[in-house]
Amino acid sequence: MKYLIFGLSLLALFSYFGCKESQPYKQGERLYAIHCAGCHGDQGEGLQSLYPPLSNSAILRDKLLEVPCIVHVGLNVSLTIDGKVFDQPMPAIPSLNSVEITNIVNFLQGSWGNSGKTLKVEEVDAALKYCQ
Amino acid sequence: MQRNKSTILYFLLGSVLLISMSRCQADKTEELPIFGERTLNENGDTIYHEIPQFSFVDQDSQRITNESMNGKMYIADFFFTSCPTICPKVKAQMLRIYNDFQADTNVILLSHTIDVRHDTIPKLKKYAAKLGVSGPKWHFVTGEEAEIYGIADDYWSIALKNPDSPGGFDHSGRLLLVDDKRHMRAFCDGTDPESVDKFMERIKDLQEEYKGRASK
Repeated sequence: MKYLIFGLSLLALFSYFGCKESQPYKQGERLYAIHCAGCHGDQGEGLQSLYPPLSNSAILRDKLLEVPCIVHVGLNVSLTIDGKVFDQPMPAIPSLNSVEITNIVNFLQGSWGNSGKTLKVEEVDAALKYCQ
Repeated sequence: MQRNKSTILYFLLGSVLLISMSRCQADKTEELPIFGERTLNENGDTIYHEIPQFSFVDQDSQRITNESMNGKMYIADFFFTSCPTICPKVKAQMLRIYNDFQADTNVILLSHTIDVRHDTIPKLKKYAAKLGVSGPKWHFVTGEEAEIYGIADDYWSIALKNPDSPGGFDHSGRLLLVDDKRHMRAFCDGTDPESVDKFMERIKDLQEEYKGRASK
């Protein structure tokens, strides 16, 4: 009986820590910290009306296929989010390849209240062909 | 038996000594250090490093000099508005300081742009507004490029052009606390919230020092 309780406790512990490690887009998380978190914040919170938040993001929800190009060539248009106007240009990050962009987008989609809808590398490749 | 008595006596004496030492430590008000190189003058007095004379213009076209800081303390940093790397993190921390010390008009923030070509006064004004900053507490200043790059050394900061760096500039994210005698009294890594937490304690220490001075 003692062994059973011990075994079950171990199992519970492993499952708990297993769940904690369940972030499937480790590369995306790491690349986000390097390339994006400086402006958009460690938790996607953004900064005032200077840098838009990436939590509960309408762009990630409604314009997901435009996101790869935003990362690749940057953005120089004004965005209005929750009544705040963001017009600080976003710099391009041309060094990121399509796999890396996919992983960043999918990491974002699984974080901070975003929809969870992910992209495939093929979709990102196709989107990147039409960046303006 | 005799040996036991001596042990107890030593133990008691040691405890008394420890308690009195810790009490002394608690009663003592730690004065913040003065950072920077020290020299001796001809009389053998120590001369502390001072922030040299400066003259810049802020987002409201006001001239900001050392005299603007008379009787105050200020937190200095270096940035540029299009910085894609550490500046937003540092600005988020400066904003914490701005909000936390809003009530004390003697605490001033001084952010120097290192991209004087692009960061014009209207651009600095817009940046401040976008950050939610208004009023005379936080000055975003520009000026002669050589003067800004030169004074960065005095603030133990790096500010230089580097076409290979993201955004075209190299700079450190250090925050410096300067008193009304132009002395640097504390510094921290402005990209690290925990380092800034401790730095904010140092600002409070300096506020206490000012209060103590005023009551004498």
